[in-house]
Amino acid sequence: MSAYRVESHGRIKHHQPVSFTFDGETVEGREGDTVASALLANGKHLMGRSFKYHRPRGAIAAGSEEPNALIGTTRSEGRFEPNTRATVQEIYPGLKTESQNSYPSLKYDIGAINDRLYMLFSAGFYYKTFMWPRSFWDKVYEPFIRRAAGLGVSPTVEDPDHYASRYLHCDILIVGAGPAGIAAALAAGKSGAKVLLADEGAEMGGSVLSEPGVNIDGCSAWNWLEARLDELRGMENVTLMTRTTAIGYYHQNMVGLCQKLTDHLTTLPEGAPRERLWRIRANQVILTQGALEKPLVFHENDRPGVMLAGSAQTYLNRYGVLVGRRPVVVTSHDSAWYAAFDLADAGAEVQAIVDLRDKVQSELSDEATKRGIRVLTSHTVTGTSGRLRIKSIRINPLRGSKAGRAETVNCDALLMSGGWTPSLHLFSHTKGTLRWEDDTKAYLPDQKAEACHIAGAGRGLWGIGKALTDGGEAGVAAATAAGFTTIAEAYPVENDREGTGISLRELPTDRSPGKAKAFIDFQNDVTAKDIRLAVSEGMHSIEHVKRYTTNGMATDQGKMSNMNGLNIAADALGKPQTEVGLTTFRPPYTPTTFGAFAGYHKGSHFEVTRKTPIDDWAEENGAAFEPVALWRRAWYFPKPGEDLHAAVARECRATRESLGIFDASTLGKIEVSGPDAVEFMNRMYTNPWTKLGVSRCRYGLLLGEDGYILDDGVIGRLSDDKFHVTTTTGGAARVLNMMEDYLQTEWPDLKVWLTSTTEQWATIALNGPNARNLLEPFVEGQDMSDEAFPHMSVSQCTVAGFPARLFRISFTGELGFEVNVPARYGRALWENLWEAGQQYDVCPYGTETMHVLRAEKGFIIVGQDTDGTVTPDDAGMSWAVGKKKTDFVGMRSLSRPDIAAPGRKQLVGLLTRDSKTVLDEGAQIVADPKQPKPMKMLGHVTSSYWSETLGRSVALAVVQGGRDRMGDSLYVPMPGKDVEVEVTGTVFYDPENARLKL
Amino acid sequence: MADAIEKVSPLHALAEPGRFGDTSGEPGVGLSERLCDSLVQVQAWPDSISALKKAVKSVTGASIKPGNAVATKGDVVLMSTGPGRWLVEDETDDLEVRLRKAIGADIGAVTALTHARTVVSISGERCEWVLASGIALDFSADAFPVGTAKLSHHHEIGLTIHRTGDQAFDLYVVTSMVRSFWGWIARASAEVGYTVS
Amino acid sequence: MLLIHCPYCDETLPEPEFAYAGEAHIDRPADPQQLSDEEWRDFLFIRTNAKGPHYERWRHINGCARFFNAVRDTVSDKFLTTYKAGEARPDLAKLLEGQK
Repeated sequence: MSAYRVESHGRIKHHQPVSFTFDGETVEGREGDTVASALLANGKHLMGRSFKYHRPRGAIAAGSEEPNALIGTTRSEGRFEPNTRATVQEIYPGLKTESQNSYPSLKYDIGAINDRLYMLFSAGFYYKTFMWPRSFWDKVYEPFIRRAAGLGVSPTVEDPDHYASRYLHCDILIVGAGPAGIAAALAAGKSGAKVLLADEGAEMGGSVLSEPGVNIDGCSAWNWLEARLDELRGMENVTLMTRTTAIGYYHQNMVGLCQKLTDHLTTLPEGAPRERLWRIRANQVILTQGALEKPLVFHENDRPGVMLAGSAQTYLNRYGVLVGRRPVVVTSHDSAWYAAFDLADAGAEVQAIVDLRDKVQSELSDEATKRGIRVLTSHTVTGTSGRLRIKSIRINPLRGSKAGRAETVNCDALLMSGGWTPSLHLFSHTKGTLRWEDDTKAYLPDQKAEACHIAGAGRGLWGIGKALTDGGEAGVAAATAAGFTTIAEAYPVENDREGTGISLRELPTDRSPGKAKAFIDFQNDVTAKDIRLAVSEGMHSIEHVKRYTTNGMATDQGKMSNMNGLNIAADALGKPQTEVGLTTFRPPYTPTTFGAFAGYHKGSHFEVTRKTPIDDWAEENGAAFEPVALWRRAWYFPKPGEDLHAAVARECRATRESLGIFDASTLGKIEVSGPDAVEFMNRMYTNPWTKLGVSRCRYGLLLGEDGYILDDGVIGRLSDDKFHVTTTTGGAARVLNMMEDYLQTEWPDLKVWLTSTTEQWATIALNGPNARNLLEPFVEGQDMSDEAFPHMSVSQCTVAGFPARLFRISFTGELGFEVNVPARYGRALWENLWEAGQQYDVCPYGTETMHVLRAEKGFIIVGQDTDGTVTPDDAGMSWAVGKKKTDFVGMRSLSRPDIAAPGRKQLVGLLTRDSKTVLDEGAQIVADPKQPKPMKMLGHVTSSYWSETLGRSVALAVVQGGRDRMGDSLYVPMPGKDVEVEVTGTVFYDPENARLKL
Repeated sequence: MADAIEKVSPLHALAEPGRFGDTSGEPGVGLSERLCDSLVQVQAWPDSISALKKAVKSVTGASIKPGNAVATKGDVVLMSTGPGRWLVEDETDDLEVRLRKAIGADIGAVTALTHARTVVSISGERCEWVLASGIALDFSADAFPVGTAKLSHHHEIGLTIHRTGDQAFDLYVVTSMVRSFWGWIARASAEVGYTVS
Repeated sequence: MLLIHCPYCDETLPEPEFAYAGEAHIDRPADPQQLSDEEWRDFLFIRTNAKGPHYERWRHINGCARFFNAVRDTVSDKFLTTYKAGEARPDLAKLLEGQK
């Protein structure tokens, strides 16, 4: 039996032992313990080392605000998590935990040398210590920062858990299930409103769990709690969620909750998510988050065994643990007296209650005297001793603001209280304003920015009775605002402990304040002296002080440190608190896993993958894929032993010599219908459409209003009032959005409807001299001869028995057709063509071969050969601009001075003097590679390939004044060499287009 | 040739019948896919809405309802997808042809989307729970009554959602993304247990 | 995540159902060729950078697909109102009065 466990106290199951390990050593706790409470029950206060100085540290708190006791937890292979708060992690059999920031062991840590070198690590040390000598940066400082810039160690294997998410709409969300939250839920729940009550703890009750001596409504506090929680559980319209932290409060009452589902379980249910991120949309929000206790700021206030008094009370009453058998209490607030009494009543020999105030209520001193506790008012504490746990403290009488002669008092724990800070993090997320109350030295909520209510200690009301009343009223107010009717109950409370106190800065000391290690931010090792130094070095904004000292930037986000830091900074600045202001509170309220944010979207669900109806065939036939927008497209079809280049060379040869088959289903398709369809097309595209006959196609060029090429594609006229528009794969959504924008907002008078039909049609392209020979036997309802169905035609006919939109078009320069059939027939048509195509050695090809074949013909790819600053003329495509048109989108911009000016970059071809050299895409182009740097860059290579057809490399490029440089030599500097190129036209293959006319 | 055998469902490899996810209790939801026989979009001009409604009635026998209320009659389903725009579904294979005949260019536009959408049906006690796992709409019966349809999305995947019953929804999913959608909804259903039929 | 009222669907829905579409009430000139270079530049590029109420366009992209207009306060992010494309600018003074 441990000396610190008190069987008569606590809500844990004393008869249920649970073993876990801490740094390899087996520790026995009880069911219901946290790692911290179990360690404390075994007399272990030392739980970790601090971040900067590697000072030994123990738990200072009992909840999620804990800055010191961060541990690594391991459930099983892959289930490792760093920086878990030992005060929150519940124990279960087999849990492995380890301390952090220590080597070789927690008790003997090499990094503690930093503590001796503390002069180097004062405020702003990042900016000072590491400035000189410069040569130290790579070898000394950077490795040090890298090692130090992160707590714990990252997991090394993929997280085997999965995470869930959920949206929830409710009338009233209540954050925090302490007395105020429960009273609010009771009042709101009875109204019939849909209520959600969430609490970050493993059980609900908040401060009631730590105050079993209070009587509510004639019952003991815990019996009352159980009965009222049962009542709430019985209400169908009320949902209770524990282990659920409200991490952020966003616009219009959207609150993010992170619910931990499995971290406390002994065995994991099959397939259960580890955490669930809730996105709550509430009509009304009630914040009943309570208050956080402030530490006192004095020399060596960070020694293991120094703890918040309220937390010690919680360890006793919730977990049955005395954090010390011979504690001393130091306080400026009444609440610590009650903690002292509870510990004394449980068997602790409280050595003294040291109060910084001159006077305390006589009831308190009487109660202390009754228990034989020595009372020292108007005293301060000026230091502590003990290597890994506190052994004694120095206590000095106060003479005004000076400390008198010290007395040393032995102890095994020091319980402190510097008063309480209302927890206003979530309220501040909403941009609600705060007001400073000088009496209590606390910020309280002022102007609201959302439909929310704050009740209880969160707005500075201490004591369970006040919290219950205030919570009930908030419940009524919220229900009323949400359109429901209810009344609040009255809650008579006996033995309530309301308490008052004062708030202080650094405590007076009889030693040199310059040597005091009086910590404010325990995790980041920021001391009071650091704050004053920052101010004296010119940091006058509180946001600068925060960043210079790193105060409040630890994983507890300043829960422990902000108020003390602000008070001291205000004092150093000689300004009232209100003029100094507050640093910004930002979500999340407590550290939240990436898994929770990612939810379902990891692994194969990370991104949506669009697949064509022919995708399966490509996969079965060994295609390599590439992502294009959200699509995955067959990139090339390697045969055994082939790499990309060999496969593409073969695919190019086969297509040019006989027949290639290509899945073009990803091309965007938009149906433009209506009596004004042609007028709409005239206004959108550069080309003229009025005279395009039914069953004919035209290459269309789409500009932005700024005159730059935005998209292109072949457009077929299906009837007088219907066009089948194709867009680039990646541009489909953008083009439809732009067309809808003009149609709906600029030309709402046009009778036109736009419909995306990308998904309706599977598109199979056949290219090569045998394309017609293969296709013709399958086609019904269309004469396939060159005369009846010439290049740039479209027909609605039947192919292989499927209704089809058949285009005769070519993106390769070969005789080409594109067959569109309803998507679910795509695979069947493909297989029909594949089977029949064997007589022509039909070759499936992918996007890479498509790119090579089109580049040989000088066809551009928007987004590759253009970059959003290329006009039709720049691209050599003035022929696509209707000369007689008076307006189309982008037309006016084509005569803007910069666009009409000479010397713009123009699209040209490049042929390397050494035909085997393939240029790098994106490489810059210069006139003279010997010119001094920085060189004048004339343009860049946009497309570059090995052309199997031509037996040499070909490239497209944009070059300043390119069309005036035909035949000139330019240079492309590439790694290790300057490649000489000749400027040419953009068409490298079959410039007469003879092959299209077969 | 163009018979049902040739229509390959985009989900054929994924949606195998069986019982999946948490198998400890009754399955929370049932999932299935459905390929529409005919799904056709009709769109009216601002001055021809009543003419279009009349035409739809003459072809299908069902009357378009106001707002997002869905009209169903036999195998016919009529859903609004925006001002002046409706989806018409039935189990024939010539709905597009019939609508096109009744709705000339003077009345509106007719576009077949039969193959552009794949319907994923979800039913069962936990179907609201599963849908709310990834779609931001309020699925409670007050906010989303039976017999109404809403448009939404999940993770870039456009959805038309028809509440067909108290515990049943039909989701019309963009075909090329239905495999990704199925991956998500199966994952989200695993926690409550699901069957595929 | 804001809630946005679509004036076409007459429903208030979460922000991800919508897409922002730039400043409102910038009409494309009826005959752009008549504009001077400066006038055309202003039409293309010059936008209000309001601190406070801002007339802007949104599209119910994952719903009815309609573009509509809104007045939104760029400081609080909150919408003061939304209205159909083509309708006149609402009276700002009245809107602000209604907020009080």
